Amino acid sequence: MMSLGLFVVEAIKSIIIFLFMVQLVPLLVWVERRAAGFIQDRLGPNRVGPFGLLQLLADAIKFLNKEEFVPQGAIKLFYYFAPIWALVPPVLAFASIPLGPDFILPEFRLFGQNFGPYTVHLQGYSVALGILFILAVSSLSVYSILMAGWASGNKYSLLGALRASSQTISYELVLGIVVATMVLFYGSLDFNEMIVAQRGSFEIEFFQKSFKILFLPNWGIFYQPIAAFLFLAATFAESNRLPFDLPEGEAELVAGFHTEYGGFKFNLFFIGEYGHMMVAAALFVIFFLGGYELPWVSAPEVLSRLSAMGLGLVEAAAVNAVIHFFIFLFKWLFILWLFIHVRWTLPRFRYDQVMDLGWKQMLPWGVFNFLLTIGLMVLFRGL
Amino acid sequence: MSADLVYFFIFTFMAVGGAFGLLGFSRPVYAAFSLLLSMAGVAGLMALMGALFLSVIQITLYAGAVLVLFVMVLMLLDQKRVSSDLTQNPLVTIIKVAVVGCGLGASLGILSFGSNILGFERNWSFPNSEVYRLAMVLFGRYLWLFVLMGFFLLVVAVASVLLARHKKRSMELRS
Repeated sequence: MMSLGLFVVEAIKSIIIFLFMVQLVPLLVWVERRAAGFIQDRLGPNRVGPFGLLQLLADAIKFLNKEEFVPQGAIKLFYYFAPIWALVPPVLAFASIPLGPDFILPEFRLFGQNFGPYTVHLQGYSVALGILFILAVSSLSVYSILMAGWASGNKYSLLGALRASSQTISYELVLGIVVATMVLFYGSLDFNEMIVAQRGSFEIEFFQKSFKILFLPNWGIFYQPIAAFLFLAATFAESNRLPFDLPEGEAELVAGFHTEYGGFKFNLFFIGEYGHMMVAAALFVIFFLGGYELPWVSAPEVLSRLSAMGLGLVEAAAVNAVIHFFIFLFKWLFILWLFIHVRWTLPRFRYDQVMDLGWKQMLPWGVFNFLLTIGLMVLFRGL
Repeated sequence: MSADLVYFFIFTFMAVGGAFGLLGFSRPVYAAFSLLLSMAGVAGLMALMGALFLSVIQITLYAGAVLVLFVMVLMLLDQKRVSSDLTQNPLVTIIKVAVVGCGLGASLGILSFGSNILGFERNWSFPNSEVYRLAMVLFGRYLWLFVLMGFFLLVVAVASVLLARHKKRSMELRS
């Protein structure tokens, strides 16, 4: 049983992580709209506030003020539950991703009682099964789409939902294979162990001899380029974004599964979609880009350098956590930028092309990579 | 009351309530969502007992993949009401199911706890591996339970084939 103080600390941490995730959505939307503007040789939103930054606030007020309605023939319970559920899986998944190394909360006094000191993990909660937990939780997000499409009582919505869910399921297979490859490669399901495994510089063991390439960091992407590419492509399809945004192909389906949703309910779907993007980008960073750590220099090394500079234990740990959080943020935002850039550069696929790509191209490559990894691991590491 | 006990009651309520909902709802989509609720409850119970891996796999495979297909098909057909004897009156259904379920559970309990029928539970000289222990539980202690489950599944398979064939024939007759 955890103590009350620790419980409060953990609860506050969870709320902060949730708010961090939700608050980032408007900023990303702003980046996306501005970037789309520049990519298409126009300016994007630039009237409300400096650089159009307050446009988001205006949008939020607009969303809140819209008329609240339920379409005729809708099934109310599912109609209202779907947008709420859209937000749950990404938030649960994101909360289990480590964002930085631990720091120490010193003793503090609150309500006449002494609390602490606590060691705080920069992670909503740590699940021993790590990636499996995320796979399980995000596999439930299909229900939000299905419920929305079916409960709206609209043919377009239903067709959009069926498209979306079949696409999600198809690409989840590829994602699963890639994740299995990476789990095999790192020999662990735990994110922190994966990050630890990517310290130092690139090194290949070949029949008990090791070769080092000093100018490359020891990141997963250099060992598993095929897996990295497949993972990125599959996550694009999973989060239903261009070039895979068939579920809301405007020319065919009005707006897909959220045709009948307006105002804040639509906004929840929107946040859910961005949440999926964030989880996918964070997983990419952890699997292939060394997580929150600097290339070549590990987090404990940074910590010892900081203490050597004369900082106390608590301060050094805090500075260390902040530094690594920003490193994570940098890598993560880079991947998110990639999502945005791809969206505004590539055209949409046709539906049969999406399915062919998933089942006939990516899945065989994924299986091939899996078998190749097993073979090479047996050959080099001598399992 | 400890937190675990509260969770236990919540998950049990989900599992059992979902199971009753599955049989009681006349609209297939509602029944499917009840099944989802039940699966989530069972996964929660597994997690409470420390079988975290099993519960996560349960969610991924059954709730996240198998049931999605069911729900997709049911939504596409979207029958408002299935007219069958079992689901015409929810109350009667629940009573029927409860009686049959209790009887079944009791007989299975007697079978599985009553005796160690084949005498498998002695000390074999196998290494004490996970697979071995699992096999001992499944094929030793709960052998009859296992066989009965297989039998039920067979009955379900035969019945569903029969129903499908039956429907086809009646449609042919009508046309």
